[in-house]
Amino acid sequence: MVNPRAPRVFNLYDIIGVFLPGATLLFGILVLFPDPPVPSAIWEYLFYLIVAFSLGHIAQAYSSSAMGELKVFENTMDETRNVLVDDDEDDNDTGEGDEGSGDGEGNNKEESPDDQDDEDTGGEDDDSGLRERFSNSYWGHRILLFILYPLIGPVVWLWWSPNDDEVEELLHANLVWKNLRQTYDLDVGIDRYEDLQQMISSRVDDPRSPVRSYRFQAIRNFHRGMWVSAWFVWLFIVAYEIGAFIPLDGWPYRGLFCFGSVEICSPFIIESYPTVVIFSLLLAVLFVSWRLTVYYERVFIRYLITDYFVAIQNQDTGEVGSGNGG
Amino acid sequence: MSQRATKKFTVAEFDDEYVWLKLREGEKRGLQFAIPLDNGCQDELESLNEGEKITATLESMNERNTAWQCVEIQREEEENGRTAMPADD
Repeated sequence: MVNPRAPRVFNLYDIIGVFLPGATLLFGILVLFPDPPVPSAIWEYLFYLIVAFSLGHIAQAYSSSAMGELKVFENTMDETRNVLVDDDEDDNDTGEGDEGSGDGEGNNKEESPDDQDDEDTGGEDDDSGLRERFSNSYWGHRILLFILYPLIGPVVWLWWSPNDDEVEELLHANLVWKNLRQTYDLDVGIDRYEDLQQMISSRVDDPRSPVRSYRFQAIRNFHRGMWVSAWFVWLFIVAYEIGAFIPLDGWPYRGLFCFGSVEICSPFIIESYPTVVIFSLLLAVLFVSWRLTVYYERVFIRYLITDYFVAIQNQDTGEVGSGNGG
Repeated sequence: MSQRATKKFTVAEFDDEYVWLKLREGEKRGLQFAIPLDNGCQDELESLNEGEKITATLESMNERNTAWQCVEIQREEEENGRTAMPADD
């Protein structure tokens, strides 16, 4: 039986989430050398292993910030509590004049007098309103999230975080929210989502609980690590190609790839394969990895909520789950 | 920016400060909302029983519409005796 409190070093989580993206980044850096150093002795392999693991940690730390929060958890917890508004908007879309009907469609939404005052301020926010409408539209949202962000995300994450939707299964999320409020005496309007997610994670990280969410977290980490690794290698290649347009044959810019040599030299990968092939391959890895990062973030949050839900159900019924230590 | 909504609920549970109302209709039926006992309709809320069916008008307490307070409550029996919902107060 695994002791859940023992430090778990180099487990599947570390291999998938840290080592593989780190090894990819290391490989990407090595092939930028004109003559890539190939390990031959055991200690060299060991050295590369340590470097790959370290680069993986750096890639994880960077990609964790660069991917933003995607706000899946935040949107889900909000949706379980503000669904009254959304539901009513749907009702309004499907029909008007249902006020006071007795056929079960009698839901209606009204704006309070304060809201009417707010509307009178109009005009000056037209530009931001247009941007918001674009980013909230179906295609605008997808263009920003899946086409633009994978390319610029690692640079712009300080100013802009991408935003995905909530998970579709709200009933478990709603009951989890109820349990959290009652267990920790939270205010109903709490918006400290990071705290809420940490409370759930801490509860789920228990030997009696199922921890399927952690597997998906590891897979998400793998993809986001691959995204950032591919992005950096792609950036190096772009930088090298741009160097051709810099005066003095790109020196010292291109000379950086010679690592001290005064002569301009080409990376091994550029000499070996057509640039367009390398470029296309890196872009494919970059876009696919980002797409899967977004997908598995959703899956992770969905299972994190489900794991917590099952954990509290087991607690109520006195059952012991078959989790990571069970 | 506050919103109001009138919905049909079942009284699910009471805890220390809140009553949990379970949405009875619509695509999202089954979701529960915590309504503070001491912030609007206090007497009516405290007189409710678990499992009782009501129609409640709720008003959001914050911009994100994640917290709601009671504006008006109608018990199922009262509602059945009326021909229409009351207008906005």
